[in-house]
Amino acid sequence: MPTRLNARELGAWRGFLRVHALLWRDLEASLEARHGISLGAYDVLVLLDEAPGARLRMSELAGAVLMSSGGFTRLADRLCGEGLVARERASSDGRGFELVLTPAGRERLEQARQTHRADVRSRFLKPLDSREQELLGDIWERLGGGSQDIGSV
Amino acid sequence: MRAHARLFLDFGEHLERQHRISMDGYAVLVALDEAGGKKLLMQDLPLEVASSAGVFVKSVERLAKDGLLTSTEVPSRTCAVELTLTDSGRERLDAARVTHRADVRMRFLVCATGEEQEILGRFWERVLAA
Repeated sequence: MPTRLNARELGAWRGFLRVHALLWRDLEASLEARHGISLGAYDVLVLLDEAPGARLRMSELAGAVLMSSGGFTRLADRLCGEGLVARERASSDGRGFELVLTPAGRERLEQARQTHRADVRSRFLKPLDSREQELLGDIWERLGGGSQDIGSV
Repeated sequence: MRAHARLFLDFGEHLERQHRISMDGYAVLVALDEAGGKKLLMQDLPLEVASSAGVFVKSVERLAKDGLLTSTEVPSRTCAVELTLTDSGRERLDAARVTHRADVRMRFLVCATGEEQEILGRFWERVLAA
């Protein structure tokens, strides 16, 4: 197997890195400017909204958003401080803590979702026809990202 | 985005374990190597380098401390810093490239056929140009 990536492989891989970096910056700037939340915070609010009872263990959430425990604790503190989530003892066994989406968090999420979905459509999906969107979805499944990836739309 | 985060995390751990450099550090060394021995200004590094300015500055500081690049302030330009790859930096990069390319093949490229890779490449170009 050749060591170097050929032009086709490089185009697929580097393009992915560049598009991710560009989209991350743009999508986050938009959420920060309009709703005062980072993309990481948005991801946490989406995961909580989708969870049964809108609550998840802190350790589960940190794993799902792939953040270090220190980074996730700081993010959780900020969201708690803004009243968007609440930290409560785990309901199942009383051990550890869960984050729970508050009504204010759900309201902020609903507003942010409109912006984020519009941004994803205009910045990412617009240049693709439906066949290309399907192909991208298939490749993402194979990558293990799942259909809910691309910034938790 | 999570697919990217998972790959970035796994590739970074592998590079760190085998070559003591981070993914951001690796991207900086690649950019300097591709400059063909020329000095590069920090702000001229390509888009895929570093997720945030803070992370980027820390990566460059670590690479300089490890002797993999030199970082020099440009006297004529305020806040401008020029970066140059050192011989040890090139040596570390050559070794890391073998690991990283194998990871990219095994975890990313394997998920798409040659034809799909071509479509992906064209698609990314369109998104970047939009």
